[in-house]
Amino acid sequence: MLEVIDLSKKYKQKYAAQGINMFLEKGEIVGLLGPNGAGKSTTISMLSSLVVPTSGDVRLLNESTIKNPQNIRKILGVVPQEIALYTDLSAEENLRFFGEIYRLKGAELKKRIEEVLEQIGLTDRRKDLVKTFSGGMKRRLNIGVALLHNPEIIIMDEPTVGIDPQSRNYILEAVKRLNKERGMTVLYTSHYMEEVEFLCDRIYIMDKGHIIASGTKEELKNILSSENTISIQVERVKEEFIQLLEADPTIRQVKVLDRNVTVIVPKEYNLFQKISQIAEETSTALISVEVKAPTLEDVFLHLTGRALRD
Amino acid sequence: MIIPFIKKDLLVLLRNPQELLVLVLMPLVLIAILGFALGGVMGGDAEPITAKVAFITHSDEQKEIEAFIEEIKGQEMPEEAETALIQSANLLHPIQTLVDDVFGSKELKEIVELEVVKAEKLDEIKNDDHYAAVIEIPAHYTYDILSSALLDEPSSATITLYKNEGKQISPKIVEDILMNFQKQLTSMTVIGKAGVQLEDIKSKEIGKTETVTEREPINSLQYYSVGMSVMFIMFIASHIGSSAYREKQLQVFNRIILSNTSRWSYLGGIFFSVIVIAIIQQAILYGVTSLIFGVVWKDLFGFFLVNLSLSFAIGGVGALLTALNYRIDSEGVSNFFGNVMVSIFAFLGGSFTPIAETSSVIGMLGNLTPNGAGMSSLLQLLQGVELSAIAHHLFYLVGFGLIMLTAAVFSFPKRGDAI
Repeated sequence: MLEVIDLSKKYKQKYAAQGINMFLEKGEIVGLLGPNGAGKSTTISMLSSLVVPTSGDVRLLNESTIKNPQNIRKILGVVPQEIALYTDLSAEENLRFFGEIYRLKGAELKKRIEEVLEQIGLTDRRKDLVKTFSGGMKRRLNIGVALLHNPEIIIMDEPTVGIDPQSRNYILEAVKRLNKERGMTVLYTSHYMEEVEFLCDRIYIMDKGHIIASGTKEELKNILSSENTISIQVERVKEEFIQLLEADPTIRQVKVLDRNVTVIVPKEYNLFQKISQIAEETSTALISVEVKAPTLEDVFLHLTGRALRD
Repeated sequence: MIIPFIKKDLLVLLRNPQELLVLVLMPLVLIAILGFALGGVMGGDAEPITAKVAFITHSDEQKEIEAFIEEIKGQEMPEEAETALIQSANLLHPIQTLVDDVFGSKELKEIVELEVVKAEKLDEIKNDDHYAAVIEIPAHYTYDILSSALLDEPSSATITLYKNEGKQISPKIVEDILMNFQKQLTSMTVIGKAGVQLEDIKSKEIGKTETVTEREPINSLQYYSVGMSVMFIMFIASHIGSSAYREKQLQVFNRIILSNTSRWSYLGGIFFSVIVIAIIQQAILYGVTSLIFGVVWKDLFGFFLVNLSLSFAIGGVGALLTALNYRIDSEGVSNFFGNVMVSIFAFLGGSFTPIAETSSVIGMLGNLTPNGAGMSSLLQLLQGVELSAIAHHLFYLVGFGLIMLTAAVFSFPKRGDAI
């Protein structure tokens, strides 16, 4: 349906995105996973025709959208990372304004406003000014505006940033429903690995302006099929403990998050004995040592040497 | 496609009390403060001068003329000379001339109210603050004037003027009138001595009278109603320019573009929003000033046309500020306009004081600003000038708006630019 071919964007001397190749099939949810500054938003902006790429092409049903962006705009809904709403207007007034600029009129506009308010669960708050809404409600309305004109493809740029877990679940479920019930194609970007894992059929992982891996969840996790992820929980992380782990040639990655130390090692290598030995040498009290099934976070760690939320 | 933008901008403005205060309440407060504080400075504020003047005469003019004629007859002089002198004496009634022709003239009657008072009341009247001055004609005044004028005898005739020092202008006016009367009397005397008949002089017209276009004076409330309105209309351009930039920051602009709304429609939306808000603002300001301060517009069509042209020009400014904000990716341009340029334009345009009267260059510069051109037009309308006389200002305002709009179109970032 939508194909991105060798897409690059250069700002001054620096590439924000380079050599991006990806595709979206009708009715699938595709994730674009990467840390902040990876180039996800630039890629989305080019894909949605807001930014003209330095090179490459975006093709909708085999037709370039670069020179004629009107066609893709008709079938595209974009949920920006910012709350792109008028906070001095009510939820309904916002939907009406955006509906009108999408050329919806009269009964059709009224019907769509009702449907969208229902979808995002804001029917009872329709008359309230957006500035009185919670962060989660604003995010829901932010999504609602993108749904007004019944788009075939929806691109969501980190739609759950800064909201409570309850609102996040509401949004994730809503995205699932849109895909299942309406057959909407979704491109979902996030740096929350668990969201992408929950929603997406296929995933692209981006870092430093490049796509570094892509595939289904299983395919990506298979990258780590020859390795184990070991999670070590300690009472207090000591510098010497980490240094000794990093000095071990068999350990591929060491990552510290609070009191958790994650290490990636080849499957054939038994690390328990080594970990106990280093802990004893550095007087580090171990709480638990656990071999985990690989996650997308581990895949990213494996590919970049950094955690997603670094 | 323009209407949703106008509706949205109006709603956003209505929900923003701070902006409403700046755009509507502040100009009204300033009109009231400046209009009342500087009342009296403008020509139209001048109160009509009225002076009550007491007139006391100790001279019985008719008896003194008759006495003078008797004296002429008693002298042995040629018959021709005697007849000429008697004729002249019968023509020269200095007190009657002063009372009837000078103070009784239509022009002076509006300013001076002359009250003939009995001589015994002189002391009482001198202490009465209602009188601006007291004119006292001595006994034998007419006789002395006739003797001096016709017989060349030394004159002791002196009019006494008592001025009320508590009144500032009116006693001075009365004094000037008397001085002028005395001069005329002297010149008539000199002419009489030269053998010219006084009758001939009286009947001659002095020069030619020209009529100039008469304009109604402007009072301070009228002046500042216009001055503040044309100043505060400019803040709309600044307000909309800043709001538009925030739309960009919040990615609302991207949403608008993704709806297949062109950049030019967006810019057009800004342009027309400013025009509509400006018209509403002006309607409120002039409506309130009309109801509260009595600033009434006789030529409503002309008034509407000037405000429409001014709003058009400000619409262009709003579009340009938006385009420049987008180009430099900052709210700085509209902030600079609102914080600095509006004050400079208002000063040059004469919103604070009629600065154009100090120099023709400043006047010309003032009329180059949209507010200045608008203000000149509106003040002239208040003065009763025909619409055709201010047409050049209207053309200028429309041209100004079109130039601003064109500049906005050229400076607004195109697709592919970093916006």
